[in-house]
Amino acid sequence: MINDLDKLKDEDLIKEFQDNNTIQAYEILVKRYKDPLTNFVFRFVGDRDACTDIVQDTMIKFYLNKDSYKSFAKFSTWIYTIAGNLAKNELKRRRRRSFISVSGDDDERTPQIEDKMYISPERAADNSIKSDIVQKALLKVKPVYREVVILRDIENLSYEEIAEITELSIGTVKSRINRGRTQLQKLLKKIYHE
Amino acid sequence: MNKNFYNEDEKFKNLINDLKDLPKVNAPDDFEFKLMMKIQNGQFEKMKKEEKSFSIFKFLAPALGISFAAIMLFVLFPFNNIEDIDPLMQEPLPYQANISQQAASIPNSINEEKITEPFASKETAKENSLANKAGQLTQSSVNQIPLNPRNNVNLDDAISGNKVSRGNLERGSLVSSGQDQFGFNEFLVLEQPDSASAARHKAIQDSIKESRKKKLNQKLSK
Repeated sequence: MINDLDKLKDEDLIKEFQDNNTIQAYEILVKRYKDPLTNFVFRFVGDRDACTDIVQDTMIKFYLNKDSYKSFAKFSTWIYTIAGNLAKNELKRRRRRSFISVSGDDDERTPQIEDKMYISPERAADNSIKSDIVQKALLKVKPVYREVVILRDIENLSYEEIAEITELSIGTVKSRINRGRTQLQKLLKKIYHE
Repeated sequence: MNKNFYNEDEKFKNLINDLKDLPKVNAPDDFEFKLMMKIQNGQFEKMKKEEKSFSIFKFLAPALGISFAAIMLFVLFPFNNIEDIDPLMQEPLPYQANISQQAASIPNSINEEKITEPFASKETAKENSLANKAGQLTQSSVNQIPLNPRNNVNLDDAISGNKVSRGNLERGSLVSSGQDQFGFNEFLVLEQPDSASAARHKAIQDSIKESRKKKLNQKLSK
């Protein structure tokens, strides 16, 4: 029976879980989404421990609120929405804790990578260092832009899916992706020699 | 000019490639085990309760607390009471003469005796009796008779009703029959002199004066 369940689509699995409370269906969905969600939340929050906790909470919320999922939506967008909201809550909590000074409008702010992050081009070519730099730069992008950039360029979701997850129009999603990329590119200008 | 603003993937080609090349972060191996343990142990109940307990009152609680404290302060310590506390802002109250119980208990007979009895004939016996009586007085109320010049009162004037040029302190002594030694009397206006007790103390002081005179005469004669 588990083999049969394994072949089912996400939407069929959650229906099975909703209708018959089949825990195997739930476990299969957890198995399918634990890694993409962990990757998404890690890129968004930047903390390994926190991201594991957030994904765990996402799965628990999914377990507790399985009936709030409506079949007309894609399961992936529903679960990404939960994870994204929890990740945003975590960021807000952190900001409250570490809030020191009043900052201006984020749009007007020009974030820069610290000087100590400057590394020679030879070293920049190294993938792991490059990944670190990209990740650090990503964390400096405003969260509303960061979320859509991650969903689009790292998680490879379509504009429609992102619009559904973020509850925005497709136009707004595209605009935000463009702004996020621009901001990220500015931050990474040392690598791209712009 | 009709540049498609959103189809700029080419412009960000390097960036997009870098983002795609980022290493995938996977969940820890024990992720499912921990998750199922949490679910089986019902550890999410706490999370569920926290969600349910969310309400607007959580945010209003500090404001409500401060408001309640402010109201309690106004109720317990009304600001108009400050005027009552300030003695300089207060109208002086008429002071009621307070004769002590000890002075009141001095039998009138003693005083009358002191006033009426002649000193001439049985001097020693009377001296002894006066000394005894004075001793009694000393034990009870005479100790409290103000003997300093400031508190001395012209009792003749007091009895006759001549209240000429008396200071507040003198009047205070007169009113209280010299029973109380007034220092700072909180600016109270002293009124209604007690003529009966004044007469009583006149008799006491006269008898003391007489006995002193006698003792002085005795010493001089010796």
